[in-house]
Amino acid sequence: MKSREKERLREMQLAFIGKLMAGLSHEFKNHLAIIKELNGLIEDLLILEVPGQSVNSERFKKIIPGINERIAQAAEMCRVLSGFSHRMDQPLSSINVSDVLQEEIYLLRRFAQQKQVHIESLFDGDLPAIFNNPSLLQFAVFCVVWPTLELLEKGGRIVITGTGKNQSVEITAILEGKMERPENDTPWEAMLPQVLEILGAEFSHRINEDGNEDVAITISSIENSYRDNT
Amino acid sequence: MKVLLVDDEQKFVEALSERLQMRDLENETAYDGEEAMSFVNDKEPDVMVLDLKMPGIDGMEVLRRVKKKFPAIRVIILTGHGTDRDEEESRRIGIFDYLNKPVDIELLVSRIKAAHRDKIEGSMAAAAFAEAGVYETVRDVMRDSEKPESK
Repeated sequence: MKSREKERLREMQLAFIGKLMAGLSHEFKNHLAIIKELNGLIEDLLILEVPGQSVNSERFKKIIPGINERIAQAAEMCRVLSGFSHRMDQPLSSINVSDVLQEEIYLLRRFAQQKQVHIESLFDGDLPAIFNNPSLLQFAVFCVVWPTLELLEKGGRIVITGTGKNQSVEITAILEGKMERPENDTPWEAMLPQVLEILGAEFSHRINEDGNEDVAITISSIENSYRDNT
Repeated sequence: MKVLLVDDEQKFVEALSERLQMRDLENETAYDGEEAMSFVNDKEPDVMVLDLKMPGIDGMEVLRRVKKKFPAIRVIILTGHGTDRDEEESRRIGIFDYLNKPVDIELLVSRIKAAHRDKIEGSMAAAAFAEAGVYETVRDVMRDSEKPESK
């Protein structure tokens, strides 16, 4: 791999991480804003209380679970974020494809909600463990899903499935809904062949009769000799 | 004063709405762009507190439509998605203020009141211009400038 290509790949991976982080920080601020308002509401109600007579206790009982719920959601976001960040600790490791992609889908979900597109996952429970690059796999799936997410109209649907095939995993993105693809590939799509080559993954793209698309990536364990490429 | 709060986070809007009411600021709520536009068309609020990132018609598009049809409505952006580009674009379209979430309630109250004052002053200035005949003059000049040049 030429150094310019490596540099381009690094830039695109940073852009991918940046996009997910930006979405996450927005979501996190939303959680904080809700916690702040609900907490402020309790403060306001407390000011109205007469000492010794809690007239708002029923209100408090309704407000407090809302705060706890948001704290739990924010904590879950931090847990996923931490997992996502640590994927880059080692270029190659033994990975559970379902865990790696569920994490990414969680991070993509808020973008899908904004676009009013439904995103879901369906992974076999007994997928074989794969020795490969988890961060690069997430990037490959992003290169498929992101351009579609941007193009799909309201009501569209993206389903990511994972099926075990011998010692490989076939990841399929089923893309349903109205969208008009531009003539030229987006930078993400243009980057995909290079990424798949490093992963040693196979690729197929099928447009069905109903216009929906199936994009499949089949990934298996990679030899250690590929390490230099990653 | 008619205040409209627009945000897709229902719990956030409900709590904010109640806290503003406790501070004598009556308000109504909308949970997406469509609902906000419908309210604006029906009741034309004085001040609108608007989130930018919402499903469907997003806040920036709502802002564009509102300022085009009802330029007198004062809009305060209240968002967790504070990119410089968003702020620049919304200021270009014409907002009264741009605040980041989470916001201090007293700051928000003071900005809503300031926005309302600004709207009243704007209306009074427009009325004074009209009375002095300035409005008609300016309007006629603008109309003339929009006419295609005769060959």
